[in-house]
Amino acid sequence: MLVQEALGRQILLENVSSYLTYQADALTEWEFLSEIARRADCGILLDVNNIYVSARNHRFDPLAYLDGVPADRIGQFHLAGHSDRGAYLFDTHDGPVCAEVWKLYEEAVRRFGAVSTLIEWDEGVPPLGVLLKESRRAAEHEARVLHRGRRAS
Amino acid sequence: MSSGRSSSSLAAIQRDVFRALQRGTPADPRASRHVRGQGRLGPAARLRIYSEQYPLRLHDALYEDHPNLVKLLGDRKFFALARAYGKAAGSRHYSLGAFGGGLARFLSHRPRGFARPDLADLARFEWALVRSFLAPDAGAKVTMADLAGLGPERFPAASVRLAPSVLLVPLEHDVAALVEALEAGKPAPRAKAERSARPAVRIVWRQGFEVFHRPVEAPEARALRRARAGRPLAEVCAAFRSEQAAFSALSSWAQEQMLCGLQAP
Repeated sequence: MLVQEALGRQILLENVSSYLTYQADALTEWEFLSEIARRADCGILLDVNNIYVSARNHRFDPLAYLDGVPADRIGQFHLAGHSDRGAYLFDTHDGPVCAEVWKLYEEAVRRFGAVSTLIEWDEGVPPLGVLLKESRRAAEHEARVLHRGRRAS
Repeated sequence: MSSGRSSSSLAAIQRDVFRALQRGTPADPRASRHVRGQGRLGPAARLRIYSEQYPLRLHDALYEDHPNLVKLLGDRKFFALARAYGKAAGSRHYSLGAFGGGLARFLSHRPRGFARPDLADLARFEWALVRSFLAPDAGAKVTMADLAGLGPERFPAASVRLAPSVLLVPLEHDVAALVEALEAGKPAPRAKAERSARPAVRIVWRQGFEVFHRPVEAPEARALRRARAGRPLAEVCAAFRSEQAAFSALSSWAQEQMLCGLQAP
């Protein structure tokens, strides 16, 4: 609350990529994140790539994550590339968004609507044209889901 | 995947896992007993991912807090410095932001490969900028109008506090010139091998979210130390050679929002 008071605006808390859970865990990550956001009255920055990476590393259903966070607190989506290190996925922000993450992004848009989306690519940064193409791709995925939704209704 | 709940306390988990990450011993059974996982991605493999990243995160924190030291040493050498410092000092505070607090002292011992004599001063100065930025807010600021309002009778015995962001940084080398060159992308001036007999002092302070610094002469440094110690304003002003100099300094301090906590008799 102090940070938000100092800034005079609501902040967004981002979900991490994780590689480890504890025997003593009493909550799933999405339950924990949602509870913190509720108590702090802050928003959530939903990193779709991080959900995918963690889901693979901990073998949970990424859709359960999307279903478990409060829709009214989602303020931004992040998308990024990751590395497949064999036994686990590692969040590296060094390549294009993979097909599975695009699919999960569409699921996020379906649930939370048109939310501001950022492509994170901060290692091995490609020419601007490649980044813009990736950004346009995000817009196309979003439009496809929202258009489909309108036709259905 | 194991789903058994361990009865370990949060404090025990944090202690055991932190120890494994800090020492680079991910297979330590005291840590791995807390962690879920099996097969190729068992507890030790999962802890290893973090223990490999841990020194890199420490490096990143130092890197961000010491931009001019990075420029002076170059990325590769700064990485070596972060490794050596991390090994020697370790991170002893729950906040990663506090990790750089001992770097100046570490460099003052001239560790192998880091013999340039002004490195410690540069680290001390850059750390002061960080500390000042992160210092708590001062609360109600004292203005010149507040001081004038005391009148000649109450002024001498009144006292002020320095805002927590106000720091006096003693420097044995000409760090200001070094920083100026580095920030301008010019070659770093050669450091003098000899320390100054009397360290110069720079004052660092914050207004809003911006950190400032400037040199202070000995009388002003003395006066600021007296103010910090809560000495009466008469004693603070007596550090200057003239009333005019004292008035001018008080005006600057008030304008630069360095003063708070006015106590009047």
